[in-house]
Amino acid sequence: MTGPAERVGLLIRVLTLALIGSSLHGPTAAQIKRLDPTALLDAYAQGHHDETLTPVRLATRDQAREFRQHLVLSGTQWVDAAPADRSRRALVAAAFALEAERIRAERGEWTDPGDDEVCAGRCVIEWACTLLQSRGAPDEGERVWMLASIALAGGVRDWTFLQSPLSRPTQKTVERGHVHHAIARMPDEPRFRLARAVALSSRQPVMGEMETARDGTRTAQIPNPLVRMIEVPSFVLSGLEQRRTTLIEYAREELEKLVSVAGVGDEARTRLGYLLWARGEAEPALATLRAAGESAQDPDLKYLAHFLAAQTAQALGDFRDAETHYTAALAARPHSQSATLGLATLLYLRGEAHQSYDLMNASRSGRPRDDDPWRMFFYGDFPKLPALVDELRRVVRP
Amino acid sequence: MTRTITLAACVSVMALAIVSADGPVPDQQPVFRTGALTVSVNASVKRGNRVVAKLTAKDFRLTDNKVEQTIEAVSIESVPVDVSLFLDTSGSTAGKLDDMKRDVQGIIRLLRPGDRFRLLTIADSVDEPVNWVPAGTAVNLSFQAVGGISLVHDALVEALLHRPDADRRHLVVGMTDRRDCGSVVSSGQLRELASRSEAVLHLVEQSGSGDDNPYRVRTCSPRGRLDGPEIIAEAAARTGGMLHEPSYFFGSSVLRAFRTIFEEFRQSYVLRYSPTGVARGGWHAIAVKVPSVPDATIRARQGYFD
Repeated sequence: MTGPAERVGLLIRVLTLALIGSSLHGPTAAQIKRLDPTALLDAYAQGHHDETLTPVRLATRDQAREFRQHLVLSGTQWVDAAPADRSRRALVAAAFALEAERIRAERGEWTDPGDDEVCAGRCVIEWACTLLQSRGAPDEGERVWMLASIALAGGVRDWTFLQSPLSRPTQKTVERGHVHHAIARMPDEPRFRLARAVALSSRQPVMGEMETARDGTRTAQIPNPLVRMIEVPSFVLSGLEQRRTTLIEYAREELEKLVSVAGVGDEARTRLGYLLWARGEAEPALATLRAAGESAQDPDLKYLAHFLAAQTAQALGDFRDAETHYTAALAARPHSQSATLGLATLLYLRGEAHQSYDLMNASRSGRPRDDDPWRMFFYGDFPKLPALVDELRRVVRP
Repeated sequence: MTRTITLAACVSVMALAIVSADGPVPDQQPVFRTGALTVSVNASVKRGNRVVAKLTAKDFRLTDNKVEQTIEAVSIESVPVDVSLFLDTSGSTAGKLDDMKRDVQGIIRLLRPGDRFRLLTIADSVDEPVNWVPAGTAVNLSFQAVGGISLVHDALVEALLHRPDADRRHLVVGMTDRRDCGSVVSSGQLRELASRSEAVLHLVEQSGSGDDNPYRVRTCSPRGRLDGPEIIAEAAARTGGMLHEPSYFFGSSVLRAFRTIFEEFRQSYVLRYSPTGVARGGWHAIAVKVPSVPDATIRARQGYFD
């Protein structure tokens, strides 16, 4: 039997080989010279973070792909080259790898099933994760890195990377995934448990459009015509539906457990409300979102809860309640675009064109410059990534 | 000139009717109008490819829910125009961005003194890189295409919500592939809002050549309904506008399409009437005919919600 340290070492070697083996083409000398992982890691370790990332940002897709493989190979050697400083070096390499993958994800290069990169960004993050685990007991740097890497995976909606399979565990289906590494290392960090619940609940197909909401009339989700076109035997459909219901019940239970946990309770409640609404359970969704709107202290969360409550009330045909919630959302984040558009449309369709116009006009000049929480809702913790990267840089700075 | 009371504003003084897209909601006792509301209808009249000019109110026949109305007609050739241009800068049309920017500069040059222009684009939000400027103003188009969400509905609604001054008309032209994701406003709401708008909405199809990579950060979510593009086209038709698809021979030229749209809009007519003898509430189907030009092609607002 091998011990945990040997297993981690073996995993690092396997991931390294997987990344190297995934490329059939060797890099040109010029490419390697331009993106020398060892030199970049040295510079990053000295605190020259932005300068170090510039060549990664400027690299072509091919150059970046080659660099990804060389980073894993040379990075492991770079970390092991100074045993006395190994722990910090491992964190530096992990932080640099994460920032490099963030750049690639922004360019749409997180993974490409048609390409020869078998696991791409996933493998680099897992490689970095095993490096951190090899340092011994987890510390603050690892916690921040884990949160940042989970946020990055949320940004590309790679839920299976975070949690797999996305269903209730059985004797045959053992749960695994990046978020499980984080939970195993730091079981007391509630954000990891929330990330797992978000990955689970995000498998619920995001609700398509509703029929046009009408005051006083409950509306319904528009059926997907593709589903009707494909003749699927009823037992298959019922099996799929049963599986989906089981998954959603599982996600719901996980979110319900987190509602009372300090630090994540308000977000868990908001996401639970959305999950219920997406499942068509509008009344309990509205009650949950109303409670989330009342309890949330963070303006972005308060905004989200009220915005989602407004959409739910609208679907239920209660336009007065929808207006109340849109207004509450805008009180939390004045002039934010999503709630402004929702409210302006509601007013216009009610015949209040002047108010609708004034609302949009005021929003245009007074709109906050940061990301609208609703526009970022489907990407997990991705909106927190910039702050987490800043924090990570502070931790690794010499 | 009597200030036109917009339809939407008038609707506000009425009871909040439950409306249906399929037809008027039956009231227990129909209530007939007495002419307090003024409805404006843009109507373009063409014979073949040529605009039919110099028509007067006497040449038109307009029915509101099949009841003939007394109208006044005004040619709007001399009336200044507010042009809202929406450029779909989502990832899916990224390959056309440079062409579209060039076309925007050309469009600004087509406007007449007195006309105004603004530009809406989409990234992670609906943006307005050019806020209302007079015709001829040099504009800096430095924005880029942004992959991921594609807020087509939201941008078109923001465009349609503009209220021009009483002596101006509003034309909305959207260059888009009509593929929405992430919008707050549904395609159905957009269609309904378009039905109540006095603006004329035209769409110039800009499809393909883009980047729809599902492994990009903030990739498209949630997606709009599958028949959303058709509903958006229907929204344009309800305003009296239309969808302009790429030419088989010449491909998609926004500038060429805009020139046609603008010429037609400038030479169209505004028909105004106070609905008389029609029951209030619900959808009012409008039909416009020009009996003196029996082979004319007439494009006009298809109706309005009350």
